[in-house]
Amino acid sequence: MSAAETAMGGAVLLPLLAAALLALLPAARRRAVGCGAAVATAGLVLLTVREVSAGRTVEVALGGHRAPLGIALYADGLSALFLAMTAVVGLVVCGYAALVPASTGMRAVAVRDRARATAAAVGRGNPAAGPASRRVRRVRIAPRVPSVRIPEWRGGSGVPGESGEPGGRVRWTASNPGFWPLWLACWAGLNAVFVSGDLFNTYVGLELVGLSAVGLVALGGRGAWEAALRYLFIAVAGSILFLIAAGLIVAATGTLDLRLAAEVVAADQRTHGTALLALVLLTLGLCLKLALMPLHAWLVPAHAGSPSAVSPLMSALVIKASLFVLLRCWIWLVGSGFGDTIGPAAQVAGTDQAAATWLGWVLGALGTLALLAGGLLALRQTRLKPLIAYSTVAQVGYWFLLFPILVDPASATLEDRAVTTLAEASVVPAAIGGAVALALGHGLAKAALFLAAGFLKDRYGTDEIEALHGAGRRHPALVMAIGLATVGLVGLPLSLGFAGKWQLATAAVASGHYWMLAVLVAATLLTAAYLLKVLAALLMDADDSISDLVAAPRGADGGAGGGAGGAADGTAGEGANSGADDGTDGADVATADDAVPAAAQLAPLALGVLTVLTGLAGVWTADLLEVGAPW
Amino acid sequence: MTVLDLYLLLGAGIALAGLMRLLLVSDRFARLIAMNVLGVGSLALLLALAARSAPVDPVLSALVITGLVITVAFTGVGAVLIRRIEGEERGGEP
Amino acid sequence: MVTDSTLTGLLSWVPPLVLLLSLGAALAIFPLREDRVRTRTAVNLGAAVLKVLLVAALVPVVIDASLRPEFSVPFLPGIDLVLRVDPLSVYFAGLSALLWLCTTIYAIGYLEGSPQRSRFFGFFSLCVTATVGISFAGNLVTFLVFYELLTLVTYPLVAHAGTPAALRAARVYLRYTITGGLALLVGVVWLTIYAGPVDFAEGGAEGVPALAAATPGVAVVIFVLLVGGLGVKAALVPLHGWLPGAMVAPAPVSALLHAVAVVKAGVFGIVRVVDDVYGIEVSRSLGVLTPLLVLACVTILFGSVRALQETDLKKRLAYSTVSQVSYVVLGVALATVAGTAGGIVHLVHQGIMKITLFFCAGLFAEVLRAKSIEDLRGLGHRMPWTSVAFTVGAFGMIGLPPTAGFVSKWQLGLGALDSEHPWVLGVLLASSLLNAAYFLPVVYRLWFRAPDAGRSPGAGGSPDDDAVPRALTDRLRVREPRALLLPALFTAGSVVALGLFASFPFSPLDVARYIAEGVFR
Repeated sequence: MSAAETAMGGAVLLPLLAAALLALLPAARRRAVGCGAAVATAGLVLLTVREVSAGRTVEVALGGHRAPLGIALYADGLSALFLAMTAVVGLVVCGYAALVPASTGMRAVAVRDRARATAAAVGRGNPAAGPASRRVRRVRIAPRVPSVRIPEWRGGSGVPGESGEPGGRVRWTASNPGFWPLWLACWAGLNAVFVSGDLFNTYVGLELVGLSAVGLVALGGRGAWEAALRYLFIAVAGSILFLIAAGLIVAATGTLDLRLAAEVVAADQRTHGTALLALVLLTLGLCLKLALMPLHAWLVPAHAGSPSAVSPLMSALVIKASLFVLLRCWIWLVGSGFGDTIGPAAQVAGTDQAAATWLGWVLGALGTLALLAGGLLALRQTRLKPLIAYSTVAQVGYWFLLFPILVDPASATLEDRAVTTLAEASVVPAAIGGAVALALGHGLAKAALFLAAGFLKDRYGTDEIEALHGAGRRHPALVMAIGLATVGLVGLPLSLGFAGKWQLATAAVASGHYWMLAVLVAATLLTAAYLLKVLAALLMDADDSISDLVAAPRGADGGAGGGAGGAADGTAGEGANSGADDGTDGADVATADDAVPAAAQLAPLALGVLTVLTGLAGVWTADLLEVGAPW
Repeated sequence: MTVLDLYLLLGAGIALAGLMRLLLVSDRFARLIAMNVLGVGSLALLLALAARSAPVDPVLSALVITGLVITVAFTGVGAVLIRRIEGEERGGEP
Repeated sequence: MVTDSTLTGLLSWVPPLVLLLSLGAALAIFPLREDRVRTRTAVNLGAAVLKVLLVAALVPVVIDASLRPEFSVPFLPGIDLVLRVDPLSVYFAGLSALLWLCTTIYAIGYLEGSPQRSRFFGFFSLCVTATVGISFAGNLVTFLVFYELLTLVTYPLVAHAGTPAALRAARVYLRYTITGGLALLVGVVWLTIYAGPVDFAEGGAEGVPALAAATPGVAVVIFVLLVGGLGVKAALVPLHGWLPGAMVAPAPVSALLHAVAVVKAGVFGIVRVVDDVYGIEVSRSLGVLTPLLVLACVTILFGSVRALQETDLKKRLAYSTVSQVSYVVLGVALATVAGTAGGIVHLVHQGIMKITLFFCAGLFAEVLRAKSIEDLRGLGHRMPWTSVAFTVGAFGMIGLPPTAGFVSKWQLGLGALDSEHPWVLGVLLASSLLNAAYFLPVVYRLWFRAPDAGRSPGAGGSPDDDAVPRALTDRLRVREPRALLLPALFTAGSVVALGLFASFPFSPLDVARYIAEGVFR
């Protein structure tokens, strides 16, 4: 096996093994090993991408076992692009999680000594006096979560406090070492989806991603469990639909390999009905997992309720796995846009053609709905993380605008077309290139946005936009990061979002879908509106709002909000990792400044800068997509 | 209508019932059970498809086995989550 | 012996170098701490001076018609990011570089002691980067990229104060400009599909005549989209709504927005579209020039009338800009050599005159808190130098000889007589009269009214501002800060010099005529 093939296989296996290893390690070691594994995985991905960008697809059958029962891996241009984005975003988020352990979630720590806990609670009424006062500016008592009601994501996800009776048996602290094995397992699953060579592996990869993602969301503490459960149900429903579709395809064409199946469908008219049914089922299942409107209700609580390091992974990466599979299946199975001369194409004819076209138009309409309704809903949000989550719901719509062009690349134009510079055969590739560039740009920018929001939430204990007025003054780097991410999401130059919008708009005009231009314009305006709302709030300089904005006391992580056991793990971020049982009274209540160092702002800033720099990579992206493509 | 076609329809029917209940009901455990019903239905469907060829199609059988394992895993995680949530609701027990 | 091709090769590196210089300056300034005044000033001034020198190095391009250095890098599939040097781009870049230097000196003095200076100057430099990119853009896509970039980096400048009023004005600004940018994007996409990457070429881009011949309807719609998108920044009526509100920004920003960067970029874009994308012939045959001409005239008259009604000095100047900038559009739409020359030369002249007026307005506001016309009573005695500069600028705006304003109006008048629309001469005369109507009273107040002795430096008329020692209030003359005054005097002097020496070679008028002739070749 060549280096690239080994690297490709390693990109799937290494994170998986690392995840298993991390599950066994004590919490203190996990950070270092996790980061090391992340760097190694990124290196393997780099090797694979380099090979693909040289123009060669990479294929390997693990263990030498061929299809249909062996595991075949296959990386083409589309895979390489998604692999690269996952590696970049994953690496940066690992760095952030390593710097800010508090961002990895909440965990319950049993408190043994009830009496001492009660005494400590009484004594902690006002820690402003005493030795801690030097570091605590002002204590803002975190709102206590009533223990009889499940806090919905609206009310305060993961808000620390106690559970159960006062002086109760469990205290919630920030930092959950379970993040590391779960995230690396998720990464393994994502890579598996991106390099899978047949539907079976795709299914397994999707399930791995789903399972670990549910776990990651649940790290967010009590506020996130309900959302995680809902996500679980949706993920399973989607996967089972996909499984049925895969089974149908195998039954009809006799092979799991998508490319071979497409050839069989193209050659044999009788398989068309089954193939179409399979297409509908897998589209439905994947749209469930993509949260396409109107099936979007699960996404906002899950993404908003996740811990700070998890939300970017969810919005930027996990969603992309489903998108990738959807793109792969449609590009190969629905080939009517490509014409006879290009590659194996499913020559669906007659009523089947109408059905496929109809399905494509439905997807396009739902995408438009997502863009407009999602944007309007985002505009109405008063909290930062739900706003960004609704932004994801909206941006999903951009990618679905590709489908009407795919099924109908030469629709009737309003007037005679003069000579166009876009050849007929390159309309569909341009549309696909546009959707992919938009997805990649979205990954980078959304991750930056969620990291920035997470930073603010960890620092100040709130993500209410009203409460964060003027925070920009203290964190100029963060505001710059949000600004750059805004450029990427709105699709202004320079960014992959702009390149994607350009290509999509070009394809839309060349294929006669002029309505898409209006949709793109409206969506851009809406995106700009709600992101500007965030930026303006942060830039506001009114003096009176600054005084309200204080760092959430570190003790809040340790339950200062209700009086709980000792704050020993409040003194050092590292110490929190040790997960030791503690009933000792902590001397100082450290502020969240220690827990959320200013250097952590580099993570969203780096992603923001990358969002803009990749704006120059439009041509490279389009060229890379050509590798292994069916056109 | 052969026996296999009957099983096909049966599997599809069970899966559809499970899916509907999963999406529409609000009780958590009921949803968990519905999820399993959906799984069973889909697996029955796949087995019916597999049984169409003379030696049962090994690929589809492999899909079924994988599906079983994954459904079990998800059911386990779901049960733990439900237990935690309802423990929260009752007040106090993690 | 340096051959032509070597020279071309060398010169093709100048535009990206200038871009990187400003970008580098911005990146260097952003992380600087607030108190590092010297470093920041050094970086700012150094970059500005270097820029002027680099642009000056491009002058041979203007002389030798065969030199057209180009720098390109692949950007989108099938389309490159192209930076091209031609007479018009050197002309605009030269204006930007020189006025930038003046504004930098002014801003350093104006913002002394203000908060967030590093952020301000960082975005200031990014603004230069975008403007330089706009001037050197070699095709529509590159132009669009830098045009949008300009929108992005001017937002924080308008919102600099952070007050609710500033943020509101900035939000309105962004709403207008993003919508305009989208219209421009749609137009560019559409045109690119039909005519390929639209490289600017004197006399019209290739592919466009074919489009106009085949489907004139589409060509007209695209023209409307392009000019509409550009018209937002160029403050064509009725798209000018953002401009008066943006006056809440600090004076250097207003100076920048009106004289050099934003408004000029919009108008520059319109010149490029009419002359170098569509070309005069095609535009004339499509029949779009006459509506554009009418729109320009309406804007000129509307702006002047509104300026008459304003009592706030900066607002009056804002409406004056709305009016004056459309002279450029008027000149280009006249479709004659003299008219185009008049429009192009007015780009420079209006820039210099307007910046003088804004510098003076800033001085009046800073030193004596004089914000409205009434407050300017008698300031000719108290701040004589500033008032002289203001008067010179005002006379230029009205079009009195020997100022630069007179030269451009004369040229425009010649162009109007040459063209098919001699009635435009009437519009020009009416506009000059209106200009006189709203500028002369100000000048009169400055010099011929008694100063308000109760007004003292730092006192806004309220008894609370008592930070200034009593001794100063006894004297009528007040100190005019040198850092603010010198740029104003320099530009005011230029107004007169450009008027007196307009017929010299390499004067803006000469270059403008040269460019105009190239358009009609």
